[in-house]
Amino acid sequence: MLSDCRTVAFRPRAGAVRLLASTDRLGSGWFNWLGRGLQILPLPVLLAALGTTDPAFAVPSFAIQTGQPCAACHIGAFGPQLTPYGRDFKLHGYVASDGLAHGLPLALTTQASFTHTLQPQPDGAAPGFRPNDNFAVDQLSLYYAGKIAPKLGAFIEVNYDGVAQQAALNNVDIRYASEADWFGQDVLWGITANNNPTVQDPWNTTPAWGFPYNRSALAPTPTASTLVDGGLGQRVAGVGAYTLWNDLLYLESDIYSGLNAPTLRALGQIPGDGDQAAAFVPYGRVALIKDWGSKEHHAEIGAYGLSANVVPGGDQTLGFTVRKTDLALDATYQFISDPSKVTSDRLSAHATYIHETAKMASGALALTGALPDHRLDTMRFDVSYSFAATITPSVQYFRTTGTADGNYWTTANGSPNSDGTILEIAYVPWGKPDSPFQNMNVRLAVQYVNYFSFDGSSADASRNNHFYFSLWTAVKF
Amino acid sequence: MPIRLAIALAILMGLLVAVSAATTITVIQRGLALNMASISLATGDRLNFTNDDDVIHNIHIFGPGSEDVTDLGLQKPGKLLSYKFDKAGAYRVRCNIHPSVKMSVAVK
Repeated sequence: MLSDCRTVAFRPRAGAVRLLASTDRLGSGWFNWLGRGLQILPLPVLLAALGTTDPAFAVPSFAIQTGQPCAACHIGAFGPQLTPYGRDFKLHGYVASDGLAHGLPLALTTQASFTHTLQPQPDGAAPGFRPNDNFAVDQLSLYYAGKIAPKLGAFIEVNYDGVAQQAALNNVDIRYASEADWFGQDVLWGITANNNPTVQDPWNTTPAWGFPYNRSALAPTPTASTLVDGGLGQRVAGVGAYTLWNDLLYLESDIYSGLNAPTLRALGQIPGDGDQAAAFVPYGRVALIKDWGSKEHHAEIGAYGLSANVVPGGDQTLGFTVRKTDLALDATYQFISDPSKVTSDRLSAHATYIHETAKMASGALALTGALPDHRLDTMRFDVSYSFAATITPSVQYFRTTGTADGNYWTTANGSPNSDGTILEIAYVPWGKPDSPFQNMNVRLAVQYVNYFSFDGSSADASRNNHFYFSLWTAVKF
Repeated sequence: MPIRLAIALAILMGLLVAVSAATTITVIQRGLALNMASISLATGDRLNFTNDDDVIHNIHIFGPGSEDVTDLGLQKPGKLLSYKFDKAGAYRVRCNIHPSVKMSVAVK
């Protein structure tokens, strides 16, 4: 569903950055075989799916299960931006149902794209791609998404990355949820098992499901990002408990453990491609929510954070760890012009601010020459307005700033600073109650990413600006 | 004759009172919510549920026993569903698709 390929925050300069052997890149796990299978599946599957007549949806199996169109759960009639009902559905464990038998909740999505950067990338945008103007099949994703048993449901995504040519287990969120009445107040509580801190979150302010909802894998991205900002995605496994009290207060606590290299390889991940969590990683989340009017308005304000000892770049050769602690604030506002119509206009605004401190192990200081402490601050703010759940323009401002250190960051001048804007307009013709093609949905989007500064430099930041045209399809089995 | 007429009128009035004692209340289902959170009814009263949304609903009535569940079926937009509460007790009403569509009913 969401491309989760944000750049690794820190790769030490002193010998820790290594080129991946081709066998490593291709992987040796069973997911690689699955990936080859997925390469030849889509056309017949798409053709077969077009012949059926069930309703159309974003993650189609969820929608089949509930009998709801994509627009009921998703702003703009296509995932992953959630409506209040979409959040409810997730928090209740993906089990809401129309009571009819629909078979296994399987779904398929594909993403294809064209990327144009302002300046060509001399070494090619990626192995096997040209320096500029590249077409790509970004992702083919297969989902098990829906009810497993009463009160137990799952969102499990396996995808094939057409740029990296790698199949992998992507986001997983399996949850059990129940309701209770405590002291006369409604309480929803649940347990989640997942592999990406924030993938279980129901608001689109947190990194796993934040804007942009897809992005080019063939355009340059800034070097620095915080750990919670995708740095542990699919590289950990964890369990957590959450509760929503009186539709007002959301609390969650999780604990994660880093996956070892053989497990990562078996799941289609590349061990050296990101930070390796060296111990348990606690994660916490709190949010206050309020709906008012006749549910036209929804607001959320919250905080989330984690703390982890990580081995930078997953490389054990230097033998030191970095203690990273991320604390973040976030806020959401949504306005629904007519809550009785899933096709009504909708305004959404999201903001998040992440503050990271990174403390080097004492033995690493002499080895790398780096400063002992670093900070990294990321903020993002986006606004979108969905017209009739069909045309959705969005704009985002993003900024990352941090401690400059030429022995820590791999940027040219040792600065991690980047900022810019993303403009996007998406068109989704179907996914509404009266859509003519009842068994599939499509999202066409054009995105322009504009950098004011990139990896510490403003002078040539614009060379990384790019257009990203994407075609995203979702079909049900 | 006047006495017989008076008795007949009294019986007729009693029947009318008895008939009107069972009331029907309409609950509006709009914006994935009901327009009331709770209600008290007398035995034999009836609730009508509208669907003013543009998506299907699936009202279930839970109660009065802990194992008692009545599925009113899928409710397309514009369709009216009705349920008569024949037994005293505490009930919960909720849509099986939309957790936010819920209310409690006390029947005496």
